[in-house]
Amino acid sequence: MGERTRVTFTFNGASCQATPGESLAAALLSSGVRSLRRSRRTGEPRGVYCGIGLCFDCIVTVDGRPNTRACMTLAEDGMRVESQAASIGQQT
Amino acid sequence: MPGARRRARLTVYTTDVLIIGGGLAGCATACHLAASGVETTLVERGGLNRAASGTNAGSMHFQLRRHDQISPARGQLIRGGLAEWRSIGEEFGPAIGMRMDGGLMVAETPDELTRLHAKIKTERELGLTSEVLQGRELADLAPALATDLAGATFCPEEGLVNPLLATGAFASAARGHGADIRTGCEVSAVDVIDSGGFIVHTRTGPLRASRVVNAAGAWAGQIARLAGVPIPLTGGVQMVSATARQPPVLTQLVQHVARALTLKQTMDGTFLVGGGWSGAVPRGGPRPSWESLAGNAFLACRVVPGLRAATLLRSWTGTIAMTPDRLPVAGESARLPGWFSLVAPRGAAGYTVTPYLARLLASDLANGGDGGSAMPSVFSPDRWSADG
Amino acid sequence: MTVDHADLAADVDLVVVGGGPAGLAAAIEADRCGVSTRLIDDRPTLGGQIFRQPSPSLPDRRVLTTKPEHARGLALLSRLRQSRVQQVTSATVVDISPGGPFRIQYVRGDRTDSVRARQVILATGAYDRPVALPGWTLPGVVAAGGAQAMAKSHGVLPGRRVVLAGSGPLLLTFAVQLHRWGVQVAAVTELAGRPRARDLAALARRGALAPDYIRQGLQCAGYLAAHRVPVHFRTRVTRILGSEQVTGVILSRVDHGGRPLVGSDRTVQADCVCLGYGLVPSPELARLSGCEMVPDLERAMNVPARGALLETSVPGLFAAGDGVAVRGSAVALLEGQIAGLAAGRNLGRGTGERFEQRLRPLRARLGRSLAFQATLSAVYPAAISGCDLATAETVLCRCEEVTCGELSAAIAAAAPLADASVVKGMTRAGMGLCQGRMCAANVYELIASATGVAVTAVSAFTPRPPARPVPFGAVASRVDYDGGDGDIPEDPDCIS
Repeated sequence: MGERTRVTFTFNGASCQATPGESLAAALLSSGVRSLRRSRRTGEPRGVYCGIGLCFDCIVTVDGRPNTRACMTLAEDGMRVESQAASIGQQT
Repeated sequence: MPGARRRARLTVYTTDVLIIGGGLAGCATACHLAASGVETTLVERGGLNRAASGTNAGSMHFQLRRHDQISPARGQLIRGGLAEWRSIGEEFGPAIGMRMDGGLMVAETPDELTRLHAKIKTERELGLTSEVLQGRELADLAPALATDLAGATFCPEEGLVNPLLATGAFASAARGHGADIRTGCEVSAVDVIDSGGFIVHTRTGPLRASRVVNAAGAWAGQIARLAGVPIPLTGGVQMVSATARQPPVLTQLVQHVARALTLKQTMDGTFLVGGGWSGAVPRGGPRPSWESLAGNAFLACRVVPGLRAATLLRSWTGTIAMTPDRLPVAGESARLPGWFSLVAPRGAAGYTVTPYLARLLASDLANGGDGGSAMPSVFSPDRWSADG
Repeated sequence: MTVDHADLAADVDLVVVGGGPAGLAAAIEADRCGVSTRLIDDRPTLGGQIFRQPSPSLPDRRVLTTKPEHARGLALLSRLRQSRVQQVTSATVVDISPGGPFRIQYVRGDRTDSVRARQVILATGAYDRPVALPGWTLPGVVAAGGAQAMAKSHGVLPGRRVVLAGSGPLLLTFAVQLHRWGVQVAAVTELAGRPRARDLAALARRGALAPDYIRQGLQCAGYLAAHRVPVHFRTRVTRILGSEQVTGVILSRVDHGGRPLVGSDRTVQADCVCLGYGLVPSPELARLSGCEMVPDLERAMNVPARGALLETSVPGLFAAGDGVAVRGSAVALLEGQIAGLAAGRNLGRGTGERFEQRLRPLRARLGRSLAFQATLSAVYPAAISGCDLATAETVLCRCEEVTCGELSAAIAAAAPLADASVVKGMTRAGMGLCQGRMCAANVYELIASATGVAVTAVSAFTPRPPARPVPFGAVASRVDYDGGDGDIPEDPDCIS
């Protein structure tokens, strides 16, 4: 299995690469992206914390689906990954 | 002790009205009573708002699933409840997570749609402004609904409240008016004083009261027996489930004309799914039933398909009072003067009607029996006893 | 009340929840006894955390698992492959209802599968203790276990210049691992003091495992010294610096109670902090199943009560390994075997002589391993606070962003009836996506110290399904379409 087969996805519009079987969190970390979103209440930056799918801090919105853990989701070609909106759930 | 009246020879704390039960019924009654200047004490065995009042799904619903079962008393409750929650909204609204953006009762089949048309006539007579919506109109109002529903009635007067906050708001107001509210204070016995009044024995000592209100919800049967005026009231276990926060897509309360369903998106963005589905009671005590969770979820997802992608996080049970006729137990007992009751059981839209009933009861207590009572006699606590 | 488990109508004899050391050992042993077994794990590959296998597509040169762990894991997995155990992966158990056969619900993808089993073994493992300190929510702060998982599975390193802060026998080993992976280890802080000669002597007396352990510890210490990695004993990271991500830490020396000593602060630059303060068990399924929980005073937590054969208070339900209490993989393997054997006996397989023959050496080895673990706690504290460094502004509930100060205020307002459920309702702590896993222990600790009760006596969050967050659509099923309109069960507490 060569590294030639790479997977390409976007994070907030920017193109990112991953090896097949790599999680979104790992792929983003490899490209130096550690801040995945802003927290809802205080707007603080959040990224990967527990790394094993329990803390739900690394949530991103994948192809429109919110609350998706980056550390548990394998990167796939063409995935559209976005920072989970801080305002999710806030009523105007 | 604040508010205590200690006479030289009596060492018993004395009050005018003692309310047993710290849910919505007890706290709302305490608030109205204290505001009228009546000396009021409330005792709750655990913490406030821990049972049905705090575990229901927070639906403010007035629409009828069965329009042919409307009685004058039920009609009074709907009118009264509407007015009552409107004024609560004005006073506490945002603080208790209230949103009154209306309610939608959906129909899946043509038969169910017929039922919708039949019931709005009755609802309009009761002061609700229900109308049937279909197709484009319905989709524009509530785009999150499935597009293949036969239709829905929209009732602008309905909405939702955060049940974790409402009781506390009444309790704070009650305390502000001078009511003494005690938690961790379980009632173990009730002595009837021949010359009038009661001695109620609690975990923290005896209390003497001229009048008592049994507002103990699902435990009101136990309390009633202590006073020698039993009522056939038991407790039943229901459950609710909740999702994580989702993008806001729904502002109305959603129900189903032919099935048990309540579905709403709260001010926090979470979805609460309920409607009275049963819990389970294995040896370890009440817990949610997986079958109910799955069935309730199926119905909710059928009505709002976007819910499929929502993250289910929590479920819980609550114990609700149950009476054989599904009507409230409210008013003074003729079997035992001075002994009042206020319980809204399953089937009576308890959360919706309780503050109104509490106002009626408080008014009766404050007037001391003068000027008649607006409390419907069909709610009498004596209706099951031979001479009731 | 004896339950004749063998007669219960079920789909399978035994369900094992969790495919780490305890679960694998249990499934293999049960299968040996002729017990039909289904092993359910929530990851795509088995092995749990310690035997975590690299992602199948990861190029070999990027594999970062240590050789001994890797080999042991492979050996177990190989034995499992040769067995008749049904393996279900990427499946999350969300509910277990006991009574008659156990009904286990697990979610895979967008559907829920249901299985009835005569016996259940819970082997749910453990996760990094959440330790709240100022700055712990910054990107770049990772749990040590998570950092290892990312490294093992994906060959990804947690940062370039790492401070490793924590306590316990695995801390130095992890430091060596990090360094071998090419990370610059700026500092290691160990809460406990440097092991004393008499502690090492006590360990050495404990038998077979001790020389390996001590040798490994000395090797690690030697390696780190040779590579000039600063190791600070009786020291903690008390604050993590940075605004968008980690830029450094403040270290302080601490006293025997773990409290920072005034005037001993130093700043160390780093882009990553690994918090390795030990592991805490995942008891959710045990509690959900109705297991009686009893206090483990040494660890200051409640654990499922178990008999000598590891059966809980729920007949036919066993619990093994770190999911009960964290005691390491050697204990987990042995407990798994014992539970598998005992489950087989409950079903009438492997009874009598062969059972005792098989059990005796396992019990003996388990006893020695447990004794060794107990001695370790003389060196490393078994009960560590996850929030004694938190200030009023420190977020304690990460999901709902509830601070330590807000929790303390709620506890004070609710006193004396401040139990976890009340505080949850007031602050939303515990109501977020992680279902309280990152904050529950710290919430209990705050309540305990405010109300003066033992932390094990604090009334905890009520266990309810789903045991893990799952898509709502996956749960939906037509099992009981009219479940809201019929009779509802009576609550026996209300009978008058």
